[in-house]
Amino acid sequence: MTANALTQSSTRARRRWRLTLQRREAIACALFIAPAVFGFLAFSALPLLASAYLSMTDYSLAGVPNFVGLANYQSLFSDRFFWQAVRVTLTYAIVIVPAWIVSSLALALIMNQNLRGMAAFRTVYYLPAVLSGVGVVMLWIWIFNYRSGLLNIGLGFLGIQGPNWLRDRNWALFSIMLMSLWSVGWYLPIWLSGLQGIPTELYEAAEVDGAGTWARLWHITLPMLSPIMLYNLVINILFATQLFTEPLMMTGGGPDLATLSYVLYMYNNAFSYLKVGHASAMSWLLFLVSLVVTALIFKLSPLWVHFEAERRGER
Amino acid sequence: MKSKLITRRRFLQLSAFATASAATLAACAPAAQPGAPAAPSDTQAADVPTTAPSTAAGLTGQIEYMHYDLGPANQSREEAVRAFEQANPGAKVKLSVLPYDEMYQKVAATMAAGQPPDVIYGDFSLLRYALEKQLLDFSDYFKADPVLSKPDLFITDMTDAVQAKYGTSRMHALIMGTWVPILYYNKDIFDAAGEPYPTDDWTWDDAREAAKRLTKPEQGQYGLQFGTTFDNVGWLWWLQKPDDFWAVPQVFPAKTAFDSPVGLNVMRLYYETSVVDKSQITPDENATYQVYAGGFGAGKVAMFSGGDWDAGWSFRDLQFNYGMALIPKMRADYRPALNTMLSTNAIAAATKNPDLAWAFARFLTADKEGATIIGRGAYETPVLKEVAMSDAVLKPEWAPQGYDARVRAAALPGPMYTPYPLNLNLWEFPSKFLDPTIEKLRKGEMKPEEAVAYLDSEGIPYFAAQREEMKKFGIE
Repeated sequence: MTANALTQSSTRARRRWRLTLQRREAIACALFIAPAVFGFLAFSALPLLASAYLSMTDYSLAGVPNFVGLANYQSLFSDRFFWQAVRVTLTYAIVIVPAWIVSSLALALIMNQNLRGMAAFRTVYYLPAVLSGVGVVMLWIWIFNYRSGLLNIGLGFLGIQGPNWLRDRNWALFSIMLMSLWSVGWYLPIWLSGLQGIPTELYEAAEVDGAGTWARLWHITLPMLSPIMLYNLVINILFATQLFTEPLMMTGGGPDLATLSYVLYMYNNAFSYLKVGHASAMSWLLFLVSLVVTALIFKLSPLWVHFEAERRGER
Repeated sequence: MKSKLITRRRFLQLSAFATASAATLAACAPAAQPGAPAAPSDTQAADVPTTAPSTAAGLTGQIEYMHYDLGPANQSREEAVRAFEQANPGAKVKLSVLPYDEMYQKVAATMAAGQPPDVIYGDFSLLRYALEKQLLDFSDYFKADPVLSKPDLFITDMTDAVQAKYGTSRMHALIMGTWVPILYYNKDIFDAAGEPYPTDDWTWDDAREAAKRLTKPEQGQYGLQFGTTFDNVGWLWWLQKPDDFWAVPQVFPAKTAFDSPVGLNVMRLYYETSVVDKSQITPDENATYQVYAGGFGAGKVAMFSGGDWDAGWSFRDLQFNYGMALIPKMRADYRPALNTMLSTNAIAAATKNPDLAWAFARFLTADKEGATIIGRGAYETPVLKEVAMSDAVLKPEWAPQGYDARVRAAALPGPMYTPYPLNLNLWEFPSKFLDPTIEKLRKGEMKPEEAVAYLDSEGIPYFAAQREEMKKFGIE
């Protein structure tokens, strides 16, 4: 073999190994997303699959899990505490989801005004979203204190004897709802970004046509915000069904199980009663119900969500 | 045949890949299979020393000791660890302190992961781990120990209590101390009212009458307060008659018997002090006081039914004069409710250093120095008799009048069972049935007769099902 032939052979080999730009980018992309994918597999997908398996066992954190089939699911349906937890969570979600959406949207509409000092207000309202959940709950426990709480003292000035917010079964869940409203600021940036994305020419055109404030809100703002509303609706439903920290810390699920939320009962099953199988079954039921509800919302969304790009495409 | 050569670069690539894969798999794999830790006594039989390990026998290595937050008594654990390490220069004990609930969750998680702490301070809550053999069966260590094998050296029966506690012949918990119920009283309130102090022969009728006289709503002053654990289980302390009757049998109950004269008496006492006399401070009123033990801690309640650990926890810092007496009897012909809970140390079967773990647990229980340090902590009464009866334990400088009641109560003859019904899901019955019932009783929404009937209607099938589940552990 001549030296020339050797050189040609070596060049061919190098060409074989030289990657195209597209392939190099693909590899770089794979490397960049690898930690996230690995993290998802290790810390989400695997535990998810494990919990699916555990939901069909009698695992108690001690000992070895024994396969029991669907017995955990069956026993849940005959467990009145399970149904109480479902009732509490549903009540909470039905009240709090619309309340969150309406109040946060109303706040966002106000915050969207070009008024002096509005940036400070935006910060103040967003503050609860960045505070520690436990700290906020402790604060509210004091606000709700029957004798010396801020709320009842305030009501006292008006000549009203406030209720026993957290220890009266008729008020306890309502108190938690009231406290939950405090965190509406969390949604403000989302609404505000949506509001600021609405083209001003739409409002100008409406004004020229003589549309008033309500007409503009109803016919421009709300339709244009409907994709954001869809997002908030889904997220809010998921948040509401996962009510946990507040009842855990404020009421422990009482009084008389009036605030026993679904996730709190799930947690009790896992860590207080050591019924990990039951808890896993509960978590899968919650997942499946959330999935169905979310799918249903998306299925119905074309009826009320205004996707501008799609409409343009339709034309 | 054409041989396939591997290049150096390819070899390095494959090696790197194989190493990374192995490391990844190793990191993901559990350290040990749940339920399959180092087998307890069966496999250790050959290693069991013929004599108990001495604390100066050249023990080396490191163990972790986990206990829940004991307030000021945490210091006693730190001191005990220092003393143990000084006696065993090659040994190291790492202390892990967590809030009560969190500790048991942590134990559960680490047990499941096969990496539990070596020595676990605790109580009945570890029952399931004992049954699942995830706790070391140290009966052989125990029998061979020159001190522990002599019952006369202790204020309580070390063997029977532990075995009764777990319902097996195995030993999974080494008793370190005793806890007894105590009636604390605010001497200043009694003095101001000219009332005689409670005495050891008081019945609850005496306490109730005194509470009525000492209640002054206009001053925010109440006669009685039940301890923080009352809702769940505290009242079970009273359910004892001379023949050891319990509404919930203590070891692996098969049913409940709330609907009985004794059970009814307890419910009536609670109902009447809350609803009829209104001499019991309400939880809401209690919550307004930001001090330990709420109203009593703030000097607004005359009597407090609690545990003797309260004395060690923070009553020593109370800003008023107080005294201690035995918890009142339910009726004059009953014996005092002296049932005692036991503080214990258990050793994880998965420990890599059982000798060191045992030596440390033993140091806290059966070594004079260790037991004295624990006794000075005042969270529990050490069980080693010479220490329990010493001035260091009986007469700390901050001791109130009647402080020795905690030792007298523990030393009196009687069963030393936990007042908690032992079953697999310890907190389930209290949180689902007892708490809501007590809450309703407190508010007058349920009568005592209804309460006991309801609790039995729920408790009998519940504990029957529990008992059924126990069969898998060989407990009939």
